Amino acid sequence: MILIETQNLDFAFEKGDAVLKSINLNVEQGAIYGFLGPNGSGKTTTIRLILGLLPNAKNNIRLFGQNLSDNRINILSKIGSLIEQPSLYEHLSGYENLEIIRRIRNVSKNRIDKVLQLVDLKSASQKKVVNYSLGMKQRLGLAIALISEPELLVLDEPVNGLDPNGIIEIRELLLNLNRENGITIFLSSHLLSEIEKIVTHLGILSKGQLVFQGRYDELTALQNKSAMIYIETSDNRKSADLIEKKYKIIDAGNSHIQLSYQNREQVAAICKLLVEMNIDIYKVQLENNDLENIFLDITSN
Amino acid sequence: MLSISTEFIKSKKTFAWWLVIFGAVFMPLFVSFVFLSKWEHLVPQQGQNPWDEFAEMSWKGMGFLYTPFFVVLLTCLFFNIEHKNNTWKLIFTLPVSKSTIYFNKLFTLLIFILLFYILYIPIWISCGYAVGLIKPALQLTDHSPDYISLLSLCFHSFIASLGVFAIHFWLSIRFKNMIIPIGIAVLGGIIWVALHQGRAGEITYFPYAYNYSTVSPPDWVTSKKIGIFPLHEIFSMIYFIVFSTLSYRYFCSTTAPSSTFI
Repeated sequence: MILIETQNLDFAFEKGDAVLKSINLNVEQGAIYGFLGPNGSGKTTTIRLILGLLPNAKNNIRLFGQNLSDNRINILSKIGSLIEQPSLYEHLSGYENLEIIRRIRNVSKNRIDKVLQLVDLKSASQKKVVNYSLGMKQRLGLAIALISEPELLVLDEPVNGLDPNGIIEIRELLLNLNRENGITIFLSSHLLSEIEKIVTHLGILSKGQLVFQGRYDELTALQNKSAMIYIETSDNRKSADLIEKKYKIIDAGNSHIQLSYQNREQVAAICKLLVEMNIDIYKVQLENNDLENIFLDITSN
Repeated sequence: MLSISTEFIKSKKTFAWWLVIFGAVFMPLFVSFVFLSKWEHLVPQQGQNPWDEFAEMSWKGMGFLYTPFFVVLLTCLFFNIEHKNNTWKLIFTLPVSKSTIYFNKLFTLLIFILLFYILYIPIWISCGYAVGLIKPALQLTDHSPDYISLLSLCFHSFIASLGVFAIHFWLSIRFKNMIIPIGIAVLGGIIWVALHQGRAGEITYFPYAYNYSTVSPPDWVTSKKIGIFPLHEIFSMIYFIVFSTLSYRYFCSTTAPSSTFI
Protein backbone atom coordinates (compact mmCIF):
# COMPACT_ATOMS: atom_id res chain seq x y z
CA MET A 1 0.00 0.00 0.00
CA ILE A 2 1.22 3.51 -0.84
CA LEU A 3 0.92 5.70 2.27
CA ILE A 4 2.05 9.00 0.78
CA GLU A 5 1.35 9.77 -2.83
CA THR A 6 1.62 13.10 -4.60
CA GLN A 7 0.90 13.66 -8.26
CA ASN A 8 2.63 16.54 -9.99
CA LEU A 9 2.73 18.50 -6.79
CA ASP A 10 3.62 22.13 -7.42
CA PHE A 11 3.85 24.97 -4.97
CA ALA A 12 4.78 28.62 -5.06
CA PHE A 13 4.46 31.20 -2.34
CA GLU A 14 2.55 34.34 -3.24
CA LYS A 15 4.49 36.53 -5.64
CA GLY A 16 7.38 34.09 -5.63
CA ASP A 17 9.06 31.56 -7.87
CA ALA A 18 7.94 27.93 -7.82
CA VAL A 19 9.28 26.18 -4.72
CA LEU A 20 8.16 22.72 -5.84
CA LYS A 21 7.89 21.51 -9.42
CA SER A 22 5.89 18.44 -10.29
CA ILE A 23 6.79 16.26 -7.33
CA ASN A 24 5.61 12.65 -7.56
CA LEU A 25 6.25 11.06 -4.20
CA ASN A 26 5.51 7.42 -3.50
CA VAL A 27 6.08 6.22 0.03
CA GLU A 28 5.27 2.57 0.59
CA GLN A 29 3.92 1.14 3.82
CA GLY A 30 6.68 -0.19 6.06
CA ALA A 31 9.41 1.91 4.45
CA ILE A 32 11.84 4.27 6.06
CA TYR A 33 11.83 6.92 3.38
CA GLY A 34 14.68 9.41 3.50
CA PHE A 35 13.72 12.71 1.92
CA LEU A 36 17.00 14.34 1.06
CA GLY A 37 17.94 17.68 -0.35
CA PRO A 38 20.15 20.67 0.35
CA ASN A 39 18.81 23.48 2.50
CA GLY A 40 16.20 25.46 0.59
CA SER A 41 15.43 22.64 -1.85
CA GLY A 42 11.79 22.45 -0.73
CA LYS A 43 11.77 19.60 1.81
CA THR A 44 9.94 21.47 4.57
CA THR A 45 7.48 22.93 2.06
CA THR A 46 6.70 19.40 0.83
CA ILE A 47 6.20 18.19 4.40
CA ARG A 48 3.98 21.17 5.23
CA LEU A 49 1.88 20.37 2.18
CA ILE A 50 1.64 16.70 3.14
CA LEU A 51 0.41 17.68 6.60
CA GLY A 52 -2.04 20.25 5.29
CA LEU A 53 -0.13 23.21 6.70
CA LEU A 54 0.05 24.91 3.33
CA PRO A 55 -2.80 25.39 0.87
CA ASN A 56 -2.93 22.95 -2.00
CA ALA A 57 -5.55 23.95 -4.52
CA LYS A 58 -4.94 20.97 -6.81
CA ASN A 59 -5.94 18.32 -4.25
CA ASN A 60 -3.20 16.04 -5.53
CA ILE A 61 -1.97 14.69 -2.20
CA ARG A 62 -3.21 11.29 -1.07
CA LEU A 63 -2.36 9.68 2.24
CA PHE A 64 -3.47 6.18 3.22
CA GLY A 65 -5.21 6.08 -0.17
CA GLN A 66 -7.43 9.03 0.75
CA ASN A 67 -7.47 12.59 -0.49
CA LEU A 68 -5.91 14.84 2.16
CA SER A 69 -8.25 17.79 1.82
CA ASP A 70 -11.39 15.63 2.05
CA ASN A 71 -10.25 13.39 4.92
CA ARG A 72 -7.96 15.67 6.91
CA ILE A 73 -8.99 14.61 10.41
CA ASN A 74 -9.08 10.88 9.69
CA ILE A 75 -5.66 11.05 8.01
CA LEU A 76 -4.08 13.18 10.75
CA SER A 77 -5.29 10.72 13.40
CA LYS A 78 -2.91 8.14 11.87
CA ILE A 79 0.10 10.46 11.62
CA GLY A 80 2.64 11.61 14.16
CA SER A 81 4.78 14.51 13.02
CA LEU A 82 7.71 16.65 13.97
CA ILE A 83 8.30 19.70 11.80
CA GLU A 84 11.62 21.56 11.94
CA GLN A 85 12.27 22.59 15.54
CA PRO A 86 9.78 20.81 17.80
CA SER A 87 6.74 22.89 18.77
CA LEU A 88 6.58 22.75 22.55
CA TYR A 89 4.98 24.74 25.36
CA GLU A 90 8.25 25.77 26.95
CA HIS A 91 6.70 27.14 30.17
CA LEU A 92 5.27 23.69 30.92
CA SER A 93 6.96 20.42 31.86
CA GLY A 94 7.56 17.62 29.37
CA TYR A 95 4.81 15.63 31.07
CA GLU A 96 2.31 18.49 30.75
CA ASN A 97 3.15 18.87 27.06
CA LEU A 98 2.38 15.21 26.54
CA GLU A 99 -0.78 15.48 28.64
CA ILE A 100 -2.14 18.21 26.34
CA ILE A 101 -1.61 16.08 23.24
CA ARG A 102 -2.89 12.96 25.02
CA ARG A 103 -6.16 14.69 25.86
CA ILE A 104 -6.63 16.09 22.36
CA ARG A 105 -5.84 12.76 20.72
CA ASN A 106 -7.89 10.97 23.35
CA VAL A 107 -5.38 8.22 24.16
CA SER A 108 -4.92 6.42 27.46
CA LYS A 109 -2.85 8.01 30.22
CA ASN A 110 -0.33 5.18 30.38
CA ARG A 111 0.90 6.11 26.88
CA ILE A 112 2.66 9.11 28.45
CA ASP A 113 4.91 6.90 30.57
CA LYS A 114 5.49 4.57 27.65
CA VAL A 115 6.64 7.27 25.25
CA LEU A 116 8.69 8.99 27.95
CA GLN A 117 10.49 5.71 28.52
CA LEU A 118 10.88 5.18 24.78
CA VAL A 119 12.66 8.51 24.29
CA ASP A 120 14.49 8.22 27.60
CA LEU A 121 12.99 11.34 29.17
CA LYS A 122 11.27 9.81 32.18
CA SER A 123 13.63 11.32 34.73
CA ALA A 124 13.29 14.80 33.20
CA SER A 125 9.54 14.68 32.60
CA GLN A 126 8.70 17.11 35.43
CA LYS A 127 11.31 19.65 34.36
CA LYS A 128 10.16 22.74 32.46
CA VAL A 129 10.84 22.35 28.74
CA VAL A 130 12.59 25.74 28.68
CA ASN A 131 15.39 24.05 30.65
CA TYR A 132 15.72 21.14 28.21
CA SER A 133 18.71 20.79 25.88
CA LEU A 134 18.06 20.77 22.13
CA GLY A 135 18.42 16.99 22.09
CA MET A 136 15.88 16.60 24.90
CA LYS A 137 13.45 18.89 23.09
CA GLN A 138 13.89 16.87 19.93
CA ARG A 139 13.20 13.66 21.89
CA LEU A 140 10.12 15.19 23.51
CA GLY A 141 8.91 16.25 20.05
CA LEU A 142 9.33 12.65 18.99
CA ALA A 143 7.43 11.45 22.08
CA ILE A 144 4.57 13.79 21.13
CA ALA A 145 4.59 12.36 17.62
CA LEU A 146 4.51 8.82 18.99
CA ILE A 147 1.91 9.18 21.72
CA SER A 148 -1.01 8.07 19.57
CA GLU A 149 0.84 5.02 18.15
CA PRO A 150 0.75 6.43 14.61
CA GLU A 151 0.96 4.33 11.47
CA LEU A 152 3.05 6.98 9.78
CA LEU A 153 5.74 9.22 11.26
CA VAL A 154 6.61 12.39 9.35
CA LEU A 155 9.82 13.88 10.69
CA ASP A 156 11.46 17.00 9.37
CA GLU A 157 15.19 17.00 10.13
CA PRO A 158 14.77 14.97 13.34
CA VAL A 159 18.50 14.84 14.07
CA ASN A 160 19.22 18.46 13.26
CA GLY A 161 21.43 20.00 15.91
CA LEU A 162 21.99 16.76 17.80
CA ASP A 163 25.42 15.57 18.90
CA PRO A 164 26.73 12.26 17.46
CA ASN A 165 25.39 10.27 20.42
CA GLY A 166 21.98 11.87 20.07
CA ILE A 167 21.95 11.08 16.34
CA ILE A 168 22.77 7.42 17.04
CA GLU A 169 20.04 7.21 19.72
CA ILE A 170 17.38 8.67 17.42
CA ARG A 171 18.49 6.39 14.56
CA GLU A 172 18.20 3.31 16.75
CA LEU A 173 14.84 4.41 18.06
CA LEU A 174 13.49 4.94 14.55
CA LEU A 175 14.84 1.60 13.38
CA ASN A 176 13.16 -0.15 16.32
CA LEU A 177 9.86 1.63 15.69
CA ASN A 178 9.96 0.55 12.08
CA ARG A 179 10.99 -3.05 12.73
CA GLU A 180 9.03 -3.80 15.89
CA ASN A 181 5.94 -1.65 15.46
CA GLY A 182 5.81 -1.56 11.68
CA ILE A 183 5.62 2.23 11.62
CA THR A 184 6.29 3.79 8.23
CA ILE A 185 8.73 6.65 8.59
CA PHE A 186 9.15 9.61 6.27
CA LEU A 187 12.10 11.69 7.38
CA SER A 188 13.90 14.57 5.79
CA SER A 189 17.51 15.54 6.08
CA HIS A 190 20.02 17.65 4.23
CA LEU A 191 22.83 15.20 4.98
CA LEU A 192 22.82 11.73 3.48
CA SER A 193 25.33 10.52 6.06
CA GLU A 194 22.82 11.25 8.84
CA ILE A 195 20.20 8.86 7.53
CA GLU A 196 21.86 6.46 5.08
CA LYS A 197 22.25 3.83 7.79
CA ILE A 198 18.52 3.45 8.35
CA VAL A 199 16.63 4.31 5.17
CA THR A 200 15.15 1.72 2.86
CA HIS A 201 14.00 4.23 0.27
CA LEU A 202 15.24 7.61 -0.81
CA GLY A 203 13.85 10.65 -2.52
CA ILE A 204 16.32 13.35 -3.47
CA LEU A 205 15.02 16.84 -3.95
CA SER A 206 16.99 19.53 -5.73
CA LYS A 207 15.78 23.04 -6.53
CA GLY A 208 12.18 21.95 -6.05
CA GLN A 209 12.44 18.87 -8.27
CA LEU A 210 12.55 15.23 -7.28
CA VAL A 211 15.73 14.14 -9.03
CA PHE A 212 15.92 10.63 -7.61
CA GLN A 213 13.41 8.31 -6.05
CA GLY A 214 13.87 4.64 -5.37
CA ARG A 215 15.19 1.97 -3.09
CA TYR A 216 18.40 2.70 -1.25
CA ASP A 217 20.17 -0.12 -3.13
CA GLU A 218 19.32 1.61 -6.41
CA LEU A 219 21.39 4.51 -5.20
CA THR A 220 24.23 2.18 -4.26
CA ALA A 221 24.03 0.74 -7.78
CA LEU A 222 24.66 4.26 -9.01
CA GLN A 223 27.62 4.33 -6.65
CA ASN A 224 29.07 1.20 -8.33
CA LYS A 225 28.52 2.79 -11.72
CA SER A 226 30.68 5.70 -10.82
CA ALA A 227 33.47 3.62 -9.25
CA MET A 228 36.83 3.69 -11.04
CA ILE A 229 39.85 1.36 -11.39
CA TYR A 230 43.31 2.90 -11.52
CA ILE A 231 46.07 0.61 -12.84
CA GLU A 232 49.81 1.23 -12.85
CA THR A 233 52.02 -1.18 -14.79
CA SER A 234 55.53 -1.54 -16.18
CA ASP A 235 54.18 -0.61 -19.63
CA ASN A 236 51.07 1.52 -19.40
CA ARG A 237 50.79 2.11 -23.16
CA LYS A 238 50.84 -1.59 -24.03
CA SER A 239 48.52 -2.39 -21.14
CA ALA A 240 46.02 0.23 -22.32
CA ASP A 241 46.00 -1.26 -25.83
CA LEU A 242 45.30 -4.71 -24.40
CA ILE A 243 42.60 -3.60 -21.99
CA GLU A 244 40.88 -1.40 -24.59
CA LYS A 245 40.03 -4.50 -26.64
CA LYS A 246 37.60 -5.59 -23.89
CA TYR A 247 36.84 -2.52 -21.73
CA LYS A 248 36.36 1.16 -22.37
CA ILE A 249 39.27 3.19 -21.05
CA ILE A 250 38.60 6.63 -19.67
CA ASP A 251 42.15 7.88 -19.38
CA ALA A 252 45.47 6.34 -20.40
CA GLY A 253 48.35 8.49 -19.33
CA ASN A 254 52.00 7.75 -18.56
CA SER A 255 51.36 7.34 -14.88
CA HIS A 256 48.19 5.24 -14.89
CA ILE A 257 45.24 3.79 -16.76
CA GLN A 258 41.74 4.70 -15.63
CA LEU A 259 38.57 2.76 -16.47
CA SER A 260 35.07 2.23 -15.08
CA TYR A 261 34.59 -0.47 -12.49
CA GLN A 262 31.96 -3.06 -13.31
CA ASN A 263 32.52 -5.95 -10.95
CA ARG A 264 35.33 -7.80 -9.23
CA GLU A 265 35.53 -10.41 -12.00
CA GLN A 266 36.46 -7.58 -14.34
CA VAL A 267 39.44 -6.70 -12.09
CA ALA A 268 40.58 -10.34 -12.04
CA ALA A 269 40.29 -10.64 -15.84
CA ILE A 270 42.34 -7.49 -16.41
CA CYS A 271 45.08 -8.67 -14.03
CA LYS A 272 45.18 -12.09 -15.70
CA LEU A 273 45.43 -10.52 -19.15
CA LEU A 274 48.34 -8.31 -18.16
CA VAL A 275 50.21 -11.09 -16.37
CA GLU A 276 49.81 -13.37 -19.39
CA MET A 277 51.45 -10.67 -21.52
CA ASN A 278 54.35 -10.46 -19.03
CA ILE A 279 53.48 -6.97 -17.92
CA ASP A 280 54.30 -6.21 -14.30
CA ILE A 281 51.43 -4.80 -12.27
CA TYR A 282 52.52 -2.23 -9.68
CA LYS A 283 49.16 -1.04 -8.51
CA VAL A 284 45.46 -1.80 -8.96
CA GLN A 285 43.35 0.67 -7.08
CA LEU A 286 39.57 0.73 -6.84
CA GLU A 287 38.07 4.12 -6.04
CA ASN A 288 34.48 4.15 -4.93
CA ASN A 289 32.56 7.36 -5.25
CA ASP A 290 30.95 7.66 -1.83
CA LEU A 291 27.22 8.17 -1.53
CA GLU A 292 27.64 11.72 -0.31
CA ASN A 293 29.43 12.59 -3.58
CA ILE A 294 26.70 10.92 -5.59
CA PHE A 295 24.13 12.90 -3.64
CA LEU A 296 26.07 16.08 -4.35
CA ASP A 297 26.42 15.16 -8.03
CA ILE A 298 22.68 14.50 -8.32
CA THR A 299 21.67 17.67 -6.53
CA SER A 300 24.18 19.90 -8.29
CA ASN A 301 23.28 18.65 -11.80
CA MET B 1 -14.91 19.93 27.12
CA LEU B 2 -11.84 17.72 27.03
CA SER B 3 -10.10 20.08 24.66
CA ILE B 4 -11.05 23.13 26.74
CA SER B 5 -9.23 21.49 29.64
CA THR B 6 -6.07 21.47 27.49
CA GLU B 7 -6.39 25.23 27.05
CA PHE B 8 -6.34 25.58 30.83
CA ILE B 9 -3.24 23.37 31.06
CA LYS B 10 -1.55 25.58 28.47
CA SER B 11 -2.36 28.69 30.49
CA LYS B 12 -0.74 27.25 33.64
CA LYS B 13 2.28 29.18 34.88
CA THR B 14 1.48 32.08 32.55
CA PHE B 15 0.71 35.69 33.40
CA ALA B 16 -2.89 35.18 32.25
CA TRP B 17 -3.86 33.68 35.62
CA TRP B 18 -2.08 36.41 37.55
CA LEU B 19 -3.87 38.96 35.42
CA VAL B 20 -7.27 37.52 36.42
CA ILE B 21 -6.32 37.53 40.11
CA PHE B 22 -4.60 40.92 39.99
CA GLY B 23 -7.46 42.42 37.96
CA ALA B 24 -10.06 41.21 40.47
CA VAL B 25 -8.06 42.35 43.50
CA PHE B 26 -6.67 45.64 42.26
CA MET B 27 -9.73 47.90 42.20
CA PRO B 28 -11.31 46.77 45.53
CA LEU B 29 -7.91 47.20 47.24
CA PHE B 30 -7.35 50.59 45.62
CA VAL B 31 -10.81 51.86 46.60
CA SER B 32 -10.32 50.46 50.13
CA PHE B 33 -7.09 52.40 50.35
CA VAL B 34 -8.89 55.59 49.23
CA PHE B 35 -11.70 54.99 51.78
CA LEU B 36 -9.19 54.44 54.58
CA SER B 37 -7.01 57.41 53.74
CA LYS B 38 -9.84 59.88 52.96
CA TRP B 39 -12.44 58.48 55.34
CA GLU B 40 -13.30 61.87 56.87
CA HIS B 41 -14.79 62.97 53.52
CA LEU B 42 -16.64 59.72 53.00
CA VAL B 43 -18.64 59.38 56.22
CA PRO B 44 -22.22 58.83 55.02
CA GLN B 45 -25.05 61.28 55.65
CA GLN B 46 -28.06 60.22 57.65
CA GLY B 47 -30.00 57.53 55.72
CA GLN B 48 -27.27 57.07 53.15
CA ASN B 49 -25.85 53.61 52.36
CA PRO B 50 -22.02 53.92 52.34
CA TRP B 51 -21.85 50.90 50.04
CA ASP B 52 -23.30 53.03 47.21
CA GLU B 53 -20.25 55.29 47.29
CA PHE B 54 -17.93 52.27 47.66
CA ALA B 55 -19.62 50.62 44.65
CA GLU B 56 -19.62 53.74 42.47
CA MET B 57 -15.94 54.41 43.03
CA SER B 58 -15.05 50.76 42.37
CA TRP B 59 -17.13 50.40 39.22
CA LYS B 60 -15.97 53.69 37.71
CA GLY B 61 -12.38 52.57 38.23
CA MET B 62 -13.25 49.19 36.78
CA GLY B 63 -14.91 50.72 33.74
CA PHE B 64 -11.84 52.84 33.13
CA LEU B 65 -9.30 50.01 33.48
CA TYR B 66 -11.21 46.88 32.69
CA THR B 67 -11.83 46.73 28.93
CA PRO B 68 -8.79 48.54 27.61
CA PHE B 69 -6.36 46.74 29.85
CA PHE B 70 -7.71 43.55 31.37
CA VAL B 71 -9.65 42.13 28.39
CA VAL B 72 -7.07 43.23 25.83
CA LEU B 73 -4.05 42.00 27.79
CA LEU B 74 -5.72 38.71 28.67
CA THR B 75 -6.60 38.01 25.03
CA CYS B 76 -3.11 38.95 23.84
CA LEU B 77 -1.39 36.86 26.48
CA PHE B 78 -3.59 33.88 25.80
CA PHE B 79 -2.81 33.82 22.07
CA ASN B 80 0.80 34.62 22.72
CA ILE B 81 1.18 31.15 24.26
CA GLU B 82 0.78 29.66 20.78
CA HIS B 83 2.58 32.43 18.88
CA LYS B 84 5.62 32.48 21.18
CA ASN B 85 6.06 28.71 21.30
CA ASN B 86 5.40 28.35 17.57
CA THR B 87 2.82 25.68 18.39
CA TRP B 88 0.22 26.53 15.75
CA LYS B 89 1.86 23.99 13.45
CA LEU B 90 1.53 21.34 16.17
CA ILE B 91 -2.13 22.16 16.78
CA PHE B 92 -2.96 22.23 13.08
CA THR B 93 -1.48 18.76 12.56
CA LEU B 94 -3.65 17.23 15.27
CA PRO B 95 -6.84 15.41 14.28
CA VAL B 96 -9.14 18.20 15.44
CA SER B 97 -11.23 20.47 13.26
CA LYS B 98 -10.23 24.10 13.07
CA SER B 99 -13.64 25.20 14.27
CA THR B 100 -13.18 23.09 17.43
CA ILE B 101 -9.83 24.76 18.06
CA TYR B 102 -11.40 28.17 17.47
CA PHE B 103 -14.34 27.64 19.82
CA ASN B 104 -12.10 26.10 22.50
CA LYS B 105 -10.06 29.28 22.52
CA LEU B 106 -13.13 31.53 22.46
CA PHE B 107 -14.91 29.71 25.29
CA THR B 108 -11.77 29.43 27.40
CA LEU B 109 -11.23 33.18 27.23
CA LEU B 110 -14.88 33.86 28.05
CA ILE B 111 -14.51 31.53 31.07
CA PHE B 112 -11.42 33.51 32.12
CA ILE B 113 -13.42 36.74 31.96
CA LEU B 114 -16.25 35.19 33.95
CA LEU B 115 -13.70 33.94 36.49
CA PHE B 116 -12.60 37.53 36.89
CA TYR B 117 -16.14 38.50 37.98
CA ILE B 118 -16.48 35.40 40.17
CA LEU B 119 -13.34 36.47 41.99
CA TYR B 120 -14.19 40.17 41.97
CA ILE B 121 -17.53 39.85 43.79
CA PRO B 122 -16.32 38.20 47.05
CA ILE B 123 -13.11 40.24 47.08
CA TRP B 124 -15.04 43.49 46.69
CA ILE B 125 -17.51 42.56 49.47
CA SER B 126 -14.70 41.42 51.78
CA CYS B 127 -12.76 44.63 51.18
CA GLY B 128 -15.85 46.73 51.97
CA TYR B 129 -16.47 44.92 55.26
CA ALA B 130 -12.76 45.02 56.15
CA VAL B 131 -12.74 48.81 55.62
CA GLY B 132 -15.90 49.03 57.77
CA LEU B 133 -14.20 47.09 60.56
CA ILE B 134 -11.07 49.24 60.43
CA LYS B 135 -13.04 52.52 60.23
CA PRO B 136 -16.42 52.02 61.96
CA ALA B 137 -17.30 55.67 61.21
CA LEU B 138 -17.79 54.71 57.57
CA GLN B 139 -20.70 52.48 58.72
CA LEU B 140 -19.97 49.85 56.08
CA THR B 141 -20.59 47.05 58.59
CA ASP B 142 -23.92 48.60 59.59
CA HIS B 143 -25.26 48.38 56.04
CA SER B 144 -25.28 45.76 53.29
CA PRO B 145 -24.26 46.13 49.68
CA ASP B 146 -26.98 46.03 47.05
CA TYR B 147 -26.37 42.47 45.85
CA ILE B 148 -28.90 42.65 43.02
CA SER B 149 -27.27 45.78 41.66
CA LEU B 150 -23.83 44.18 42.07
CA LEU B 151 -24.82 41.10 40.05
CA SER B 152 -26.61 43.23 37.48
CA LEU B 153 -23.55 45.45 37.02
CA CYS B 154 -21.34 42.39 36.61
CA PHE B 155 -23.68 41.05 33.94
CA HIS B 156 -23.95 44.33 32.03
CA SER B 157 -20.22 44.96 32.35
CA PHE B 158 -19.61 41.53 30.81
CA ILE B 159 -21.99 42.28 27.93
CA ALA B 160 -20.37 45.70 27.41
CA SER B 161 -16.95 44.04 27.16
CA LEU B 162 -17.92 41.57 24.46
CA GLY B 163 -17.34 44.02 21.60
CA VAL B 164 -13.77 44.88 22.56
CA PHE B 165 -13.14 41.24 23.43
CA ALA B 166 -14.18 40.05 19.93
CA ILE B 167 -12.15 42.79 18.22
CA HIS B 168 -9.03 41.80 20.15
CA PHE B 169 -9.70 38.11 19.72
CA TRP B 170 -9.59 38.72 15.97
CA LEU B 171 -6.51 40.95 16.22
CA SER B 172 -4.67 38.41 18.38
CA ILE B 173 -5.28 35.68 15.83
CA ARG B 174 -4.37 37.93 12.94
CA PHE B 175 -1.19 39.42 14.39
CA LYS B 176 1.60 37.44 15.97
CA ASN B 177 3.13 40.64 17.30
CA MET B 178 1.42 41.54 20.60
CA ILE B 179 2.35 45.19 20.25
CA ILE B 180 -0.16 45.72 17.41
CA PRO B 181 -3.35 44.82 19.35
CA ILE B 182 -2.06 46.54 22.49
CA GLY B 183 -1.25 49.66 20.45
CA ILE B 184 -4.75 49.64 18.97
CA ALA B 185 -6.22 49.32 22.49
CA VAL B 186 -4.16 52.27 23.74
CA LEU B 187 -5.32 54.32 20.76
CA GLY B 188 -8.90 53.20 21.46
CA GLY B 189 -8.50 54.34 25.07
CA ILE B 190 -7.23 57.76 23.99
CA ILE B 191 -10.08 58.22 21.51
CA TRP B 192 -12.57 57.18 24.18
CA VAL B 193 -11.26 59.80 26.62
CA ALA B 194 -11.42 62.44 23.86
CA LEU B 195 -15.00 61.47 22.98
CA HIS B 196 -15.94 61.53 26.65
CA GLN B 197 -14.33 64.90 27.28
CA GLY B 198 -15.94 66.31 24.13
CA ARG B 199 -19.32 64.88 25.14
CA ALA B 200 -19.56 63.40 21.65
CA GLY B 201 -22.68 61.43 20.73
CA GLU B 202 -20.52 59.04 18.70
CA ILE B 203 -19.48 57.43 21.98
CA THR B 204 -22.45 55.06 21.50
CA TYR B 205 -20.68 53.51 18.51
CA PHE B 206 -17.23 53.33 20.07
CA PRO B 207 -16.64 49.92 21.73
CA TYR B 208 -13.77 51.00 23.98
CA ALA B 209 -16.23 53.32 25.79
CA TYR B 210 -18.90 50.73 26.48
CA ASN B 211 -17.76 49.44 29.85
CA TYR B 212 -17.56 52.92 31.33
CA SER B 213 -20.90 53.80 29.70
CA THR B 214 -22.44 50.84 31.53
CA VAL B 215 -21.19 51.83 34.98
CA SER B 216 -21.61 55.56 34.41
CA PRO B 217 -24.09 56.23 31.56
CA PRO B 218 -23.17 59.47 29.72
CA ASP B 219 -25.98 62.01 30.17
CA TRP B 220 -25.55 63.51 26.68
CA VAL B 221 -26.57 60.41 24.75
CA THR B 222 -29.92 58.68 24.59
CA SER B 223 -30.82 56.48 27.52
CA LYS B 224 -32.99 54.37 25.23
CA LYS B 225 -33.03 50.66 26.05
CA ILE B 226 -33.92 47.60 24.04
CA GLY B 227 -35.26 45.17 26.61
CA ILE B 228 -32.85 45.29 29.53
CA PHE B 229 -29.95 46.46 27.38
CA PRO B 230 -28.91 50.08 26.80
CA LEU B 231 -28.13 50.91 23.17
CA HIS B 232 -24.35 50.68 23.58
CA GLU B 233 -24.64 47.14 24.98
CA ILE B 234 -26.68 46.16 21.92
CA PHE B 235 -23.85 47.56 19.79
CA SER B 236 -21.35 45.64 21.90
CA MET B 237 -23.17 42.41 21.05
CA ILE B 238 -23.27 43.38 17.36
CA TYR B 239 -19.51 44.03 17.42
CA PHE B 240 -19.09 40.64 19.10
CA ILE B 241 -21.05 38.83 16.38
CA VAL B 242 -19.36 40.67 13.50
CA PHE B 243 -15.78 40.30 14.74
CA SER B 244 -16.27 36.72 15.94
CA THR B 245 -17.52 35.82 12.46
CA LEU B 246 -14.52 37.59 10.93
CA SER B 247 -12.03 35.81 13.16
CA TYR B 248 -13.76 32.46 12.71
CA ARG B 249 -13.62 32.73 8.93
CA TYR B 250 -10.00 33.83 9.04
CA PHE B 251 -8.96 31.10 11.47
CA CYS B 252 -10.69 28.29 9.60
CA SER B 253 -9.43 29.37 6.19
CA THR B 254 -5.78 29.67 7.15
CA THR B 255 -3.59 26.61 6.73
CA ALA B 256 -0.29 27.71 8.20
CA PRO B 257 -0.90 30.14 11.03
CA SER B 258 2.63 30.65 12.25
CA SER B 259 4.05 31.41 8.83
CA THR B 260 1.30 33.70 7.60
CA PHE B 261 0.55 35.58 10.80
CA ILE B 262 2.55 38.74 11.27
